Amino acid sequence: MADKIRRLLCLYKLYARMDLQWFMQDKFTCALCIASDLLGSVASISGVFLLSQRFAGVAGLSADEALFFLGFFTLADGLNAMLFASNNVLHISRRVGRGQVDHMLIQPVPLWMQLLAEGFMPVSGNSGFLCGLALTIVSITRLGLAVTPAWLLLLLACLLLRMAVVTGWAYLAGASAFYKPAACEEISSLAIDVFSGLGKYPLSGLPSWLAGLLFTAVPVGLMAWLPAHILLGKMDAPVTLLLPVIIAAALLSAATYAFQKGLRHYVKFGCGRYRDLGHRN
Amino acid sequence: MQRTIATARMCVREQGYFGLAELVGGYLLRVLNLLALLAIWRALLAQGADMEGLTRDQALTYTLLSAVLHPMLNIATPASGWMHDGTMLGLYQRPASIFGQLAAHTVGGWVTQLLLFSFPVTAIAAMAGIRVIPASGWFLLSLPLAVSQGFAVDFLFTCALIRLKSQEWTMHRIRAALSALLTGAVIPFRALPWGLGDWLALSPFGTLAGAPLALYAGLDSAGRLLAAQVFWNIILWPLALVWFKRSRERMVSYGG
Repeated sequence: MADKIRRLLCLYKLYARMDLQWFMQDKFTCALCIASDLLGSVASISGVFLLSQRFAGVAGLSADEALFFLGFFTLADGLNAMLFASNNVLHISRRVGRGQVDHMLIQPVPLWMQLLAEGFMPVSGNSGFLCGLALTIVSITRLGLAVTPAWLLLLLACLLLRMAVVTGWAYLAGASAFYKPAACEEISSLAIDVFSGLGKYPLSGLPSWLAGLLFTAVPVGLMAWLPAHILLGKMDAPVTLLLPVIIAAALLSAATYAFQKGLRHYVKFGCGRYRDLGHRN
Repeated sequence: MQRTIATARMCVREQGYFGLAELVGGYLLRVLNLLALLAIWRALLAQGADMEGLTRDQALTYTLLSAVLHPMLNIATPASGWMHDGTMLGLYQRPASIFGQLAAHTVGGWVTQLLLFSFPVTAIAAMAGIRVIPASGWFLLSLPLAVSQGFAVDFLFTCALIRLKSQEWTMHRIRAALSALLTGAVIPFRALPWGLGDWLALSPFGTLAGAPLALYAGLDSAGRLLAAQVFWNIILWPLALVWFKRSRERMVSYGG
């Protein structure tokens, strides 16, 4: 086990160095990429932020609480992007659908280790994370929240559970690309878009059937709404935290099963998307 | 005209290439997005927020129309993607103008959206009590002006993409961010804080979505909005044509 962890850390170091090298070799392109990600992060939450400023709060949250909610959303989304966005690790259906799993199967490293490490981009992919961190710190200061070690652990737990939900969701959807490579090439992106599109909206005031759907079957409410309420002390932590734990466990289990089953199909039938001259069908 | 219609028809068929799951999944996401936004407006208005004259009906109509007319208020030709994958080069081998082919392809893409999303959602919204009749007839003039201006803005972004050596993702992010922030597609300008709406309403981005939606919902007078739209069309189209002419020699494509 210790060997595997050491190997994983070595891979993280390698990918971090490659990411830094991109920045060192082509500063303009890399900086433009970072700036566009930052602009995208800010723009995605601007609607709810402006409404909360205009009306001194939104959907039962004060303006500062709304800022914390948006800060958590951006921080968690940024962390996910920084750890898994590179090489389409999170958008796994692209790699599966393009037949690129072949490249992974011939590497002298287990598949799970490659998937954990390949998405890491701490330099070019850190803008969302840093933006979210800044927003969270500002909102904590304005709210006067007591940041204790226990609260930080709770924050970490919320971030990890959110990451597990998104990853499980993307991989569960992405497994379908093993069977329909062309049709499902973009299905992980679509699945993730559900969360990044709706997760930033305050979800109170919804009809009960829609709220039920968005907190369980399509767990958009676990992206920021529920964690922010737990961290702000508006909900009882140990009890409420059970919901994301159960859903994350269910999604990860289902995704692991579906992905392994799909992989067995892939090993047998392959995926011939590329023509001889290198273009995809 | 026959060539344009044939191109548009090809695009309609192309919408179904990746299967029903991909097609319907995208529209379901939009429905959920719309429901969440409508719920926010209902909650805001229920808590008695001062909207400076923006009524509940107007806010809901504005939000509904923004979703229903999304492709027309946020014109996105396939130019950037085609430049990246090399399809753009094929357009030069056809006996039709580049702009014409891109426009036909874009308009063809609206058909599926109108049939599978816009008409059903509008009908359901009307049955749910949301007003779907335009408050001002000037909307019918404002929408084509917004579409025309949208094409000019899209071609300007295409030129910027050529200058940035086809960094498609970067340009896509910048463009999406500017659209979300400045076009008024998400929030009516009247609901923005710090007087931002007054500045944005007449800007080249603000008139893209904000102008037709404001006229449809009855939020603004037609005179100044239409004048601003005509002005930006006159300014942006020559700019787009000249810049494209100067940029096309620098076009780079990766293929694959």
